[in-house]
Amino acid sequence: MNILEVKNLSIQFGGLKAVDNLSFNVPKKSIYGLIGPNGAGKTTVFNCISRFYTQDSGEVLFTPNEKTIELNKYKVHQVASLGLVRTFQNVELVKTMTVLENLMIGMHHKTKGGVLAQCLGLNNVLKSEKKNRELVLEVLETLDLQKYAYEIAGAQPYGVQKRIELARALVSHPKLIILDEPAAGMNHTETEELSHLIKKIRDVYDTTILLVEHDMGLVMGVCEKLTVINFGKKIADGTPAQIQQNIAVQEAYLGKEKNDA
Amino acid sequence: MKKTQKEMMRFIIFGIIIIILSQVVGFKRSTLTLINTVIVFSICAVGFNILLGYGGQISLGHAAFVGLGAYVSAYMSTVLGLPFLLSLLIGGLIPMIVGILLGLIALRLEGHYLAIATLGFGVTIQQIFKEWVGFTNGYSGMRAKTPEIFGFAFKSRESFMILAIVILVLLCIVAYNLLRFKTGRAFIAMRDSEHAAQAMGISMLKYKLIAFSISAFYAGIAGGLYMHLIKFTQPDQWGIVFSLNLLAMVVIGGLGSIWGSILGATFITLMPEILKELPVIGEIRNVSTIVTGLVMILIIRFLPYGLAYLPKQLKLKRINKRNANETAEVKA
Repeated sequence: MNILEVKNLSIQFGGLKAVDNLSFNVPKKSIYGLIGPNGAGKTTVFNCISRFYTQDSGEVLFTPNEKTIELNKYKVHQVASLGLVRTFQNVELVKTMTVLENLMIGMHHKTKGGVLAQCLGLNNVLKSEKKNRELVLEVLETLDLQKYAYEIAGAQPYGVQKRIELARALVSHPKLIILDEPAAGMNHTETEELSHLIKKIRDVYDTTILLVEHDMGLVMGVCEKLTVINFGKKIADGTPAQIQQNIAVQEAYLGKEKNDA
Repeated sequence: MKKTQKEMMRFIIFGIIIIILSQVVGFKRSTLTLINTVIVFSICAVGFNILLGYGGQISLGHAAFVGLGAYVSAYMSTVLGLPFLLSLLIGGLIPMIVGILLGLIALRLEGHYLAIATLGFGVTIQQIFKEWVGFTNGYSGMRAKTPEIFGFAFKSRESFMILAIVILVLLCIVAYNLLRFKTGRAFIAMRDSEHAAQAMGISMLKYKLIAFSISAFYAGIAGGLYMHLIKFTQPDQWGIVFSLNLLAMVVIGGLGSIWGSILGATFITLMPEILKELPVIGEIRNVSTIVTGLVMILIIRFLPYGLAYLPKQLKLKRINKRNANETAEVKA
């Protein structure tokens, strides 16, 4: 059973084919990796899936429960409520808010109460607020962030900010989380911790994780299946072990070996 | 829970203190008019701060909403003879609808472009005030009758002040409530990171429209109150100068702070009157505009969060200094 099916996806920016006829399937409850050298078009694929870009052709099918949804029919802000949440390559937190408030934003589409009810501070608004706050604190505890709950998000170290963003994606219990370079800018120990965390999230929250990554150590350690792209085209897919043996992948990353002899 | 009740009590106590002061001290009528104006302008500053300080959307045509509120409410109460409170409400709702239209424009524009577009909007509405003589009476100006609620006429400046302050306190509480829940967080997310906001399911369309319409509503209510306080208006009042003053109120008082809006409105309204009394300086024409500009530059340079954050900033400075001293001692 696949939670996400990308079929013949193509997008072009002024003549440059950023993604070219790309297809791959993400099985439910898996940790799936999308890798490729710099400029391969990984983030563009992510932006198409999360509706920040609209593809020129091809489709993205999302199956959170039984029903399959064509994501193309939804607007960018509607994607989260379908059960698909993303993070960003450069951390996109609301820097002036506390960590707790940032996670409350993650609960936005699950927060009840109309504008007028909020103006008057009606009971159902207060109740929903209290319930969400408890859920948020729970998630903070799972990710070992509870001591930062009332600190300003922008004042935290980079590694912590990355974890906060992850927590914010998690808090609404999405069916699929897509992580754009979760290990970018992290050192070796932090990356190791992150790979444990990603596995823990998948198991505790019973969700699917799709990630784009440069760091081969993380990808090979944590992903169950990979798709490799270069210049917007798929060049291989399979398990990490298969990918490591793949000659096309080695060429894409390391360049062709000249055999003149 | 405790904290929010405390904050609401602060608004109410503030209102009560102002009312008691105004009834007991026995100000001159002109001073009372001035204080009333401060209260009325505080209302539109609070609304403008929701838009600029929280939502991060600029408008340089906001005077048009205040003017619209003034004309509409006066037309309703004086020409059509509707009850005052209903007229005031309609005077808030019509700018609100126009605000939604402006919000639709804002959806496609941001930053400088939005500033220019809203400036154009403000000028257009002001021209309509001038040309649509049947409705506004053009340059001859429009009059309003004394506001009356359930038979009680707010004739004296003291009684009008009670009316104005009650409305200000109510609208402050409404704004405070709105901003501490989902909508407030969505506004701040929209201001600080549009991408993050969208990825978390916040609709830019919805929240830009909410921000523009609510601030236009506040502006309209302020306009209606102003009209029934002064009882006269003409198109020249609602031009670019007032829009810029509104911007100055919010920037000087403090972006993203309800108290800051009130502080800013007080500063901008009282400053010209105080300057007028001073020797030499008082004789320079338009000295208040010069001072407003200077103060704005100084505030942005030294107090980027406005006057409302001054105590917090001083406290932080003291803590930093103490920490620095302690480190110096340890080193010695």
